[in-house]
Amino acid sequence: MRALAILFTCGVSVFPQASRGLPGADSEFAETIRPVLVQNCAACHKPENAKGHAPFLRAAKASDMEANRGLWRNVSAQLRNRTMPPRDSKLSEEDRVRLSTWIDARLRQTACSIGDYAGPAITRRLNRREYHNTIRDLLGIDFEVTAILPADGSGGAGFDTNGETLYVPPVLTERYMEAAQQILDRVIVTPALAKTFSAAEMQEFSASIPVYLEGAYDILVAFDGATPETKLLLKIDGAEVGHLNLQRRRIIAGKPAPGPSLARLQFNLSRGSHSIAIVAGDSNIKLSRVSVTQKAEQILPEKRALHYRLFGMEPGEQPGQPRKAARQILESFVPKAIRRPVTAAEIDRFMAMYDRSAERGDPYEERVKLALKTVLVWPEFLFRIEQKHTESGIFPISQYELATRLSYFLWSTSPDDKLLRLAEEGRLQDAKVLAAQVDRMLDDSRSRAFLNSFVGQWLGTQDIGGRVVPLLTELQSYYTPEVAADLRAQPVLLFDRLLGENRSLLELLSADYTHLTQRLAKFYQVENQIQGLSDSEFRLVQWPDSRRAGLLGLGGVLAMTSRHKETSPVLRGAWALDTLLGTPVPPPPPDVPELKKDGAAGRKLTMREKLMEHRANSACAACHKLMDPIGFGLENFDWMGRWRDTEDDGSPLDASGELPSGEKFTGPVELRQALLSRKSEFIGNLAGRMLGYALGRSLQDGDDCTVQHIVQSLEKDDYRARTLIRDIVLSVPFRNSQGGAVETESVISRRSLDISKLNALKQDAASHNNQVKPLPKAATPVGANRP
Amino acid sequence: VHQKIARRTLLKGAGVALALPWLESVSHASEERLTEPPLRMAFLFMPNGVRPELWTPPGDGEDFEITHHLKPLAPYKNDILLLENLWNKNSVGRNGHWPKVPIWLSGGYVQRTTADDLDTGAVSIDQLAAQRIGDRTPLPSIELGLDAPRTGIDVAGGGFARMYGSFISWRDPHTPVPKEIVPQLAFDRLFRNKRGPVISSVNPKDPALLSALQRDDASVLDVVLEGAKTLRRNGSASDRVRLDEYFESVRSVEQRLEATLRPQKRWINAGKFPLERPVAGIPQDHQEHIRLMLDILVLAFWSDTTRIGTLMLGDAQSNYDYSFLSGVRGGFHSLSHHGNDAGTRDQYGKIVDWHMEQVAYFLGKVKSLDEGGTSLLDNSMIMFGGSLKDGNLHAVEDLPLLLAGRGKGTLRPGRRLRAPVRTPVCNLYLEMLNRMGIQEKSFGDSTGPLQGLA
Repeated sequence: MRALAILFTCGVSVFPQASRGLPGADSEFAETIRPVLVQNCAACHKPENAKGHAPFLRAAKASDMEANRGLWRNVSAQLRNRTMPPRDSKLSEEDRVRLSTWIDARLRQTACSIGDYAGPAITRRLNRREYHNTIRDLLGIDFEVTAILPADGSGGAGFDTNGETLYVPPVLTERYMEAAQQILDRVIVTPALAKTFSAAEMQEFSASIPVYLEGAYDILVAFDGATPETKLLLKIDGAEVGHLNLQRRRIIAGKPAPGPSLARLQFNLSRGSHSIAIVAGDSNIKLSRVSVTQKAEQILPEKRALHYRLFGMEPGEQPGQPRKAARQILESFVPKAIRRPVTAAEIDRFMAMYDRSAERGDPYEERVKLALKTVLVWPEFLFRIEQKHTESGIFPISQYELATRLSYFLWSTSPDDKLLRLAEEGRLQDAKVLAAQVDRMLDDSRSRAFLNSFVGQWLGTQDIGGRVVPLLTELQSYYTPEVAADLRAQPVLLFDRLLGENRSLLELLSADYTHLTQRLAKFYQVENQIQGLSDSEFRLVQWPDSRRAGLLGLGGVLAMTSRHKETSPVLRGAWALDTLLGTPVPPPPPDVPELKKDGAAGRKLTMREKLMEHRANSACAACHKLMDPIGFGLENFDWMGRWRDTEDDGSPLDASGELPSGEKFTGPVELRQALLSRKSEFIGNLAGRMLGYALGRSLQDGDDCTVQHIVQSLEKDDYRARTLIRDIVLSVPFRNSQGGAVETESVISRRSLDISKLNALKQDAASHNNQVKPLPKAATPVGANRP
Repeated sequence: VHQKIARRTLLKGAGVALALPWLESVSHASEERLTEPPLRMAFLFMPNGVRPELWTPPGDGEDFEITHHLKPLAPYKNDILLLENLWNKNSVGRNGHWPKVPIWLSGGYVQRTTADDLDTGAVSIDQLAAQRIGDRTPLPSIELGLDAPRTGIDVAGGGFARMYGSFISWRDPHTPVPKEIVPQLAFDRLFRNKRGPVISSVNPKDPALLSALQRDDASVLDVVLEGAKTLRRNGSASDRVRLDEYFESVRSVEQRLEATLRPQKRWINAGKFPLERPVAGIPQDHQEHIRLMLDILVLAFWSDTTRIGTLMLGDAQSNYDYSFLSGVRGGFHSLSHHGNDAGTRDQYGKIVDWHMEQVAYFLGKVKSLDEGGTSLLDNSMIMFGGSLKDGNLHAVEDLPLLLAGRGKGTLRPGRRLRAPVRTPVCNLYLEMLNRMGIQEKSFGDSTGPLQGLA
């Protein structure tokens, strides 16, 4: 058996000091945990009832609990989510928090007892960011996706990489079709349409013309027999569009020039075959010639280059053997697009679209375009689909799948040639090669995609300037959209530095430096202390003093956790507990009373006073005593995150507080120290979040073991930032997938239910119906990769 | 065929392309037309509640006094039914905002999930209707809004995924229907995807047509579906859910494309609708944004592109900064929790009033459109309201709701309808479905049809 790490090794903790093998855990369970559960739950969940629902009380020892992990995770979640016990129960809020925290911690500590866990094979679509980057790398254009694809929500660990919330609504297919067309129109130069028909002295003319590009077209009609009353009517697809404009004849030597009269009209056409008709009401008129020309597009050098990159020849150039040339284009394009080698039969599918287009006489460029359009809506382009194993066990994912996981994790785009080559050579599962690739990828500017989205979503700071901080004219002296953008960038730049220089992740809490622009210096009121800044670029600077150090000193974090014009120690505390330490507090119970505004003497209460009063209510105190004191330590930062020495009304400000574990502190500097003493929790949480981001799923029970290994490894390596990334990439779940029945309870079983039946489900039943995933079977790690 | 075009008089000279999709009607020489306007159904959602004392009129008679909040609707008093005492019992004792939104139109019970497996317990009324009768129009339904979906979990606020608060339309208990928030995209949605053959007197089976450019999208999708069969075999069952979603989506788009070859029996209004294709992006001006979206909803109904629509005037807990209103300083949600501070409460009320003005604008529009003797409003059922009463207290009883329009003579507006206290709002939905031609015995947590609508 593997030696077990104790994750939470530091100081006094809200967590039990239990650990497998120590007699403490069993006795603690028997003496302080189970009796409370029996008292509150046994009436329904009778331990002796063999068929009873959720028979968790049968566990007499902590080890019994660990043997029934799924059930106990459920117990903890029900407690924390306040779905159980029923509302009339006598369970105190204090006990509710204590029990669920104890169970969670205990399960987390013993996670490795179930053996390695890899999680299911991945099938998910690219999110909007990934789609944008993938198109950029494939075709070389910066395509504005926000204008056409709907925004993605986020779920699981809270990231937009989460496959479970990457829905595929019908509108998306329409948009993918539309996007593919727009993208290819921007890259491929199709010769401008110019068709001339001879009208053979008719009064009416009609023809069908293929329009490949939406845009302006010009029709020019030559005819004889014009009179001042002549009217030529243009119909498109049977509808009257208008009358052509008669051209004045050129005057040569005082007389109208000889030859036919001319009439023209410009109009717009959408893509498709259109029937164009000219109708002359007058029988004297004899049409002679009709020409339709596309208003020539000016082809910019960039577009010529894009066209060349794809076709290997200049716009307008035609290959000698078009079909063969098209096939070659596809043979090079498709493997990049779907991130794996392809067979000839697979290319045939796309060639069928080429043929469809060729048969009706489209120009070469349009034929290739139609085939490529099919590639761009092909499921394996839009989705990452990994091979699933039917036998149970843990299996290494394929070389190409690994290349794909890696590149979407660190670059949010498809693998480059180097990764694909390593995959082809079968070397990517080699730990050394993999680690070297991680370094190469982090050094590449494309890793900015990972930094931006991971940091912004983890901390929530990406919402700054969007929905979080209002734009008020009264703030404009120091807060503008540009400042908001800078505030969003700050934590990203901090993380960037840690990765770039492989520094300690603890600097996220303690860094006494930051990146500033001139306008940010003004926001932070340090423009007098820090000189030489500009607004055009960030500069790395030392903070003048230590109160701003680390994430907790950044305006983005502080403003995001405030209410409008009012600080919120509750939100700031809850944020620190959840986002930094990974220990979310239970939600507030229903019917929370209002915070009082005024004290007895009619004086306005300070936020601290309001909250202290709130905590007089014991139901509220259980959680607020965890959250509020952390927030109190940040009261020196106002609702926008600017420094203040007093309350808004000038009265003295009290910034003392304490951690749930009892460490007391005053002000942000001491708070930071207190948090640093909980570095294992902080690092464990960060590792878990990033693992969730990397895997694109919610973490399961078995993943806690992976997180523990990563934390141990980081402890031995001074918490170096690159070690975290490397360990995630080398971890069992990143390089493997679980075969057999790892179906999470999930979506599918519930989805297969008839909707009308679902409607009829009793809500009481619903409160028992829980979101906790059942445990995977302990798997034999055959062929598993371990770092 | 000709005549129809003449009536629409849409195409004059240049700038034709974007209007061209309108011409789709020309192609259906055999298209049958409805002889009377169809019934439409819309739901307009407003977040953050109202000030109850400014909403509910005093007394309890059928006639009602126009209260402060209702003032902008005074010109339409005879077109609205003020609904009282309706509620969603499944929103009792839960978070103030998030879980109330997805059940507003469904009566379901929202699971407190972390968004990896959303579960609202039910399908919303608009989507149920779209699934049953949506194939009668080019678009089964339209979903509009103003805010991009929220992300993350509201840990302090009850552990609900914020996404819940961003959708009132749910295709099934787990899948929200994304709402369009960009006016141009919403506009295009009405017309762009009807890329049918725009060739007169067309025979849909004509080989020339089958190979025509217009059918390219459908044949691309054919190839995708064919390839799908192989792919499906590889994925694991749970993974297949998302993949199947894609194929289902492909199939539905393909069907819609094919449907343009098949005549639908639709209602064609005379005249031209005064709405240009909006420019790209989201308007800076909030009112302009909202009015464009409202216009597009009207256009969708007027052109009979769809008969079912939803529009969210804001997502749950919207904290949109309404400082552009005189006397208001701050965000909607923040101000809604006024804690009975008179100044803050006034500002909150003003924001609610502003929403009422937008609804009045909408009702004015639909009422002004003639459909051959009756107005579009006469031929509609437009529900407006929110999922909580008093925004300050998150009160869940007696939701602020009203139903505008005559439902083609099946509603008797100009009154207030006082249902028994705590009547499920689903009782109303049951009746609305019934009027749309969908016979259900029950819907959501309905206990029976709502009495007194006619």
